[in-house]
Amino acid sequence: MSSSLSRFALTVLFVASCSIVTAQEWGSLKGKFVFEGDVPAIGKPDPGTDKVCIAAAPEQQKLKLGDGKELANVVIYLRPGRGDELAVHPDCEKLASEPVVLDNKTCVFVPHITLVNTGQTLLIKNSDPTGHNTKGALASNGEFNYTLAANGQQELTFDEEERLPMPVSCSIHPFMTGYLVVRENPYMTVSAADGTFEIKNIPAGEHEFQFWHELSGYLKDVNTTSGELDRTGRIEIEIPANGVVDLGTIEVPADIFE
Amino acid sequence: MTRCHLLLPFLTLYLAVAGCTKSDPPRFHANRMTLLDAEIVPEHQQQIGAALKGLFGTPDEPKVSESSDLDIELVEKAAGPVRSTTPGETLGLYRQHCAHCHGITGDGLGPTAALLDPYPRDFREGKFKFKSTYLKYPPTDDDLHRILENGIPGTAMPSFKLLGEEQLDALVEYVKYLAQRGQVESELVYLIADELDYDPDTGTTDDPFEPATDDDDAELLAEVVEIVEEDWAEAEDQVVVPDAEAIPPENRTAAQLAASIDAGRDLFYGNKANCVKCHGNTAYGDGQQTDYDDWNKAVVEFHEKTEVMAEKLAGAKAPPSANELQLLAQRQAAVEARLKPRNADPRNLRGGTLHGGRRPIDIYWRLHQGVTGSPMPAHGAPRPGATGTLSDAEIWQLVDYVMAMTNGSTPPEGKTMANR
Repeated sequence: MSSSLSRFALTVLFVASCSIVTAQEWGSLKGKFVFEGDVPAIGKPDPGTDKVCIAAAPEQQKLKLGDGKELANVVIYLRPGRGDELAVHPDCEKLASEPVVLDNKTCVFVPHITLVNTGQTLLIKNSDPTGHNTKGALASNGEFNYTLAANGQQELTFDEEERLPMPVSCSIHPFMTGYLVVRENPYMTVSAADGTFEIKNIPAGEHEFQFWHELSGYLKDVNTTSGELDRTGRIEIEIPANGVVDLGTIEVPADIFE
Repeated sequence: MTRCHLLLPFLTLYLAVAGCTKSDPPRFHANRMTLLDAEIVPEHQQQIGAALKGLFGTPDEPKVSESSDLDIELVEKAAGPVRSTTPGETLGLYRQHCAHCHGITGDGLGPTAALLDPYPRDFREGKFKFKSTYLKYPPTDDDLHRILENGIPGTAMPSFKLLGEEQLDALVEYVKYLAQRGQVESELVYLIADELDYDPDTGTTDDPFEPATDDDDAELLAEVVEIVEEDWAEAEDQVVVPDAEAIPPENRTAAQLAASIDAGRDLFYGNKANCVKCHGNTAYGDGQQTDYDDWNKAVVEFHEKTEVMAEKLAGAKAPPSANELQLLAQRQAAVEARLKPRNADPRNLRGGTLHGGRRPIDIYWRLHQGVTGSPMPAHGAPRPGATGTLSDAEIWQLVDYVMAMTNGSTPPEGKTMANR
């Protein structure tokens, strides 16, 4: 939530830090998630009656683990305090000008979790020879729901930050689900198939980071080398200038997942 | 009192409970599902209730904020008990005409709600299906007026045309008032969940929400109100206006109309517009039928989460805490208080009625921006000047085809209920 005034302030700041390289220093945050405990059985989705989706036989996307139970699709983002001014790295111009692609491919949302900045273009594509629609149950930005012709596309942009990752679905194929993260600042990422993540070019200093997974919501009370995440999956971390904070291998216990 | 006295020997027990005194004035109900989902602690719940009362008053004594576009005089006409102060003028219109289905709070849970299919609309999300504006915006006053005047054919929502303009104006304003109140409530709940520190395990907080005395809290509240009010204020400027050049002329020949209907049929069955996927091979609504609209989906998801919680507590090694058991019981009660979720049935386009109206422009708007809160997607551009999946010309071809279908036609040869 932000008033138009503070949005304006952020925009001004965003432009300023992109065009003037200041003495601002930057650091990184990285780590790796591993699932700990018995893996819950999640069946393959029922592809319904669409021949294209039946042939594609999509896998479940809700819990993606590697051979060593490396945990993908954990969302990590920087959560600035209310009214805090956040410097943005010069690379942001490039970042913000490129569209983010959310593809409908083999009846799966690719990527499963899409990260987009406010004002950035979200290009929703359909690479399948069948029709899809993409519905986003956004809160601050209001709902969207657009039909996608076979091999068609639709461009959207969002003005407001969303407080949490918000669900994305296809009404024609309700087994297709994903998430969309809309943030004002670019400091966000999703853990990869090997469980690793890294957020680069974070302004040096202390920040609060949010950790989230779709089956657990907040990553509550999980241990890292920098301390325990709190009830809402948050932790304060000091990002050193020109340095990296490595949270190490973060074991995520099975009992926080649904 | 006399009647009470006479009945006393027969009704002692009943009267001991209910008494003969005047009942409490009706209250707005808290949005239990939202509060429980966010695990809001009792102190914050009370503070949210107090903030809402400060902003919106009560069902008998409504208020609107200074910045609001809502007309308090109209809201007051619709609010409160049904009464008449001047001969010929009735006040308390919402309770007279609407509350038995839509509920005092506008939560769609009035006493008759369970008997109806579809269920009455829950206004609290500010989402309305049949409107002229771009998808993410609320309806205009005209949109709400049209629903009150025409009703929703094929549902229990009747026409209130006989009430006259003045009373309809008051009801439109009151529906907007209930919607905005509900939106502010949900926004506040999620804002507090996100911004304030509290512990659901102990049910306590050391970070109260006190907008009356705390400047930061007042600012939070003002931002929530502003965002909700802004959206409603913008609605009138967000009406989808058809491209004048693409509107079919009224003097079309039969051959021109037939060609347009044919083109519409090709779109209906093709993989560009995708209509066949849900409305089905026959257009009886026999395609994809397992999805939910937003209102029912929220109940389905809340229910699923509650079931998972129950299983987890039952299978836990350590005995669950009193707090965990209480939260589970409250969630189960909240599920019980809701109506059993129903799937979103794609509309039967050959049934003779169309819920959102059967003028060409009504069908155009449904196709262009979809049906808010339902699975029906938008086929037009997301904003003026942008490109949609279908052009205006193509949307009008589909309008012609839909109108031809609702005029009592049968499915094309070879099209059967293949998906059933």
